[in-house]
Amino acid sequence: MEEKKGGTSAGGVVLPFLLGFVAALAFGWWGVPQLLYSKKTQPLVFTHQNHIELYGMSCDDCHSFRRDGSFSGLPGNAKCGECHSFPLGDHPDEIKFVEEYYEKGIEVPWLVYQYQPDNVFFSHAAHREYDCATAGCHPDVGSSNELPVYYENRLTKYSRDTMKMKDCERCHATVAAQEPERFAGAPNACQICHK
Amino acid sequence: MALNRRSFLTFAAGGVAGTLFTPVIWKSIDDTAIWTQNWPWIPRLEYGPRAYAATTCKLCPAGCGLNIRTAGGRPVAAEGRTDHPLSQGGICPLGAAAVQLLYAPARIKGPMQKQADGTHQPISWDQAEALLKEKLAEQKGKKDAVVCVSGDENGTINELFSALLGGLGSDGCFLMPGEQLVASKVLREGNIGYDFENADFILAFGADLLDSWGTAVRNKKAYGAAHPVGEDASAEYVYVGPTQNVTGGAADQWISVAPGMEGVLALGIAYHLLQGGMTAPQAHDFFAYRNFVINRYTPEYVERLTGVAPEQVAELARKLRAADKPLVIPGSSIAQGGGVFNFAAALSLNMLFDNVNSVGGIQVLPDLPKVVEGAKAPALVRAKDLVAYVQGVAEGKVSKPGVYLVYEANPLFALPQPDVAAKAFDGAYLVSFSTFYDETAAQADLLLPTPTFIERLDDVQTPYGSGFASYSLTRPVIRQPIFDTKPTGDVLLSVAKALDIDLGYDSFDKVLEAKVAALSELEGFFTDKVQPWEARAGKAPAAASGNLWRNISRGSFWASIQEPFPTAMQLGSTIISQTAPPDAEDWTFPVSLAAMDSRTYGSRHIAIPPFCLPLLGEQEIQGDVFYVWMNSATARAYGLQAEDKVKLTGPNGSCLAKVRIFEGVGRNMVAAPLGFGHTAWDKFSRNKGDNIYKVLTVRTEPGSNLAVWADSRVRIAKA
Repeated sequence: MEEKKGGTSAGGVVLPFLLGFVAALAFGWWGVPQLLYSKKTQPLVFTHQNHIELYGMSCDDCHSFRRDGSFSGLPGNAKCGECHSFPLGDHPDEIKFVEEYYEKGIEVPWLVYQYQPDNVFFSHAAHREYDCATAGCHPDVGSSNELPVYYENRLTKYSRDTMKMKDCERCHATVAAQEPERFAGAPNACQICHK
Repeated sequence: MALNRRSFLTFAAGGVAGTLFTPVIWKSIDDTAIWTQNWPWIPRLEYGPRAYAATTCKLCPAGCGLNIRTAGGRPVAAEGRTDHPLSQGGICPLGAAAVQLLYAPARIKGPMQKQADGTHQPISWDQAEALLKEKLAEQKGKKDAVVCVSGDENGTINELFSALLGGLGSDGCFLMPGEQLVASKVLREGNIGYDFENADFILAFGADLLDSWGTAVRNKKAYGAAHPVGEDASAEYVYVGPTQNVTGGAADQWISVAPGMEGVLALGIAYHLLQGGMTAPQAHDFFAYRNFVINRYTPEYVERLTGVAPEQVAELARKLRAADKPLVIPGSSIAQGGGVFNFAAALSLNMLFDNVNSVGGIQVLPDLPKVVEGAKAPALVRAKDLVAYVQGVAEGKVSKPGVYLVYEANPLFALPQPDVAAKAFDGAYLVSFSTFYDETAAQADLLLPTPTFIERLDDVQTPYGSGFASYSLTRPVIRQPIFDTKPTGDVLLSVAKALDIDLGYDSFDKVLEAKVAALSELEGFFTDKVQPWEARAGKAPAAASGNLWRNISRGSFWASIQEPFPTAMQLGSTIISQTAPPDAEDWTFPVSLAAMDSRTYGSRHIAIPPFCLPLLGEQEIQGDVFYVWMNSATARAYGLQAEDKVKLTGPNGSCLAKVRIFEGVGRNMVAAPLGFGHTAWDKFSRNKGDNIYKVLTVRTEPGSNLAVWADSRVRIAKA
């Protein structure tokens, strides 16, 4: 009885263990992200590519800095309305913008991939020299024809692409180490960002 | 492989092991932490363009210029305006709390009506105005059946109130008591102004210049300019008052005199000046004054009443004579409830120096032109004694009105002996136009909340204490009012129309436009380059040109130094001799109560804002018990020590407090802060300390018949 038990246990243990192990890996790496994030699409189709290539606009035309140095972020209706106060063409979203948002005075509820939490002081003006797309801060949408899918954490309501503190720290540490004289103001002390 | 217990447990173990090689646990912990940062009740920052909007503060009568900083159109902070002569970049604690008060939980969210069970229930503005119209119509034609109590000393809104009351057959338009009332008893026409900036010796009797009196922020700026760091002071300040308050602490000299005795010291100084040969030939009653002062206010008499040594009085007289431009400021240490005697006595020193309407002296300022047909002259409104009236009603000597209209005032808290006010209000229909749920609003039958000054168009005319006539506007800096409020001016105009009383305007904005248009009757200028005191000292300002309304409604400050009329001054010998205090000692209530006011404690109609609570020291309030201050000699005399509980008992009320030993309080006096002990408001302001107004006691000043309470007296005993 005891022998039999011992004999079967060698083969009978490995297989269920492996199955459980693989199932957990699959669940953890593939299943959880599917469960954790809901996919959302932007309220309107928007093409950066058209604005830049066809109309010769630059990023600054919409995503500008104000006179006090603060970043205006996404343009509001007033800015879009400078050109789109009536439908240009017959794309349904073009008409939707004018009728549903612009004329009713409702701002478009754009989904922002990159909001910083309120406990972080972040100045775009201080970071404008960096190529944020390659540094991993932003998805590079500047020349894209469509906006990426927005993944929202079902639990936290955060965008999946929100930068983590470690990303900020890594860049601050690297940059400050590379050019200490130029970036003396970019150390990783808590109060640099949490002020 | 059979599914048995063993293989299941092994599978589970594999699962646990596998999980450790996935980010699930770490991700869950991380996301849970992030989730806690996103709870919906956590306050969010507002993003958007930052801007400043220039406006004028209406939280107290000082009329400072404020810059409201906005982010994305939402007010976030109030700062003092540098281009405004009354603030010059400074701000007081109450003004700094202005934006927070906009969102205070004590705000009334819309019109409300009192129900049979005593609670307030929301109603619509149409219903509220119909109700007000009905209540006023019932009183129409009856003499003095509608009474208005306004806490706004210097707004054009008072013209609407007095014209509406006039249309209803009532003469009962009152202001909350202040220095203006006493000044009006001395000066029949115009206002009194003080040219601090050009004076080089400032002797303040009672008036707490640097904290709660008149144009406090401007006074501080004048004081600061006269005391440059690292250099000799260009003006000397002497403070005569019961406590070493902010002014007493900052002044070059503090002389402690019991409240109500300031005038005795002033006449003691006059004695030396007259003995030294000073005359005032411009005053008709100089000889009567001279005889009265020299016969009565001898150094010995003054020492007996005030406790100030004769040498000290003589030294003060010498310093005044030595000064180029001496300025004597009359007042009471709480800027209310002082008598004519103290005021006239201190004022008379200015006349001896002939510095009426001169540079660095006192100024007689014109009232700005009236624009509402049927409104009473501002001087007549200022001269009405609310406290005497309320006492008369409570005692049944004056018939009780049918309706009280209370605007930006809190008489059931901030009149001396508030229980008497409650008696006078009891049974009448009480309408409150308050922004906040104050003690008066809590008792009101009808609440018609007015927006805060950040949400409405309003004006400030020459604040008391200013050295020049002035006008500035308060304007809405927020896009949408936060609650369902309506400017009181508009409510009055609409109700007047419903009552067939023609006030001549459709909206309060039009009244203000007319006021601005009427300013052109006086010689005025905008204070962009030349300040009014510089103009008085001889610098030529450019006359105000362009569109007045356009400029003023965008924040420009209009000032005038025009003299209103040739002033024939009297030294006031008759009134001074009639109102002189009795020299009998009061043994029943042996201790002088020196009430203290400060903008940290709010204002007459605003409770201590939550923003200011951290400014209170641990020896001002602990838990719900507040402190009264006395010096160690007084404490010893009554067997008291620091932190002891003490009971102050006046003829009409009492309160409990703890003892703070502070040598900056005169002998045989107890100093107590005003503005504590609110019972309405919100949880931040309620039940902190006790209300000293309950202990202040009203007496009638002989000769002037003015109600006086700044010199109240109490008994103190260990509780």
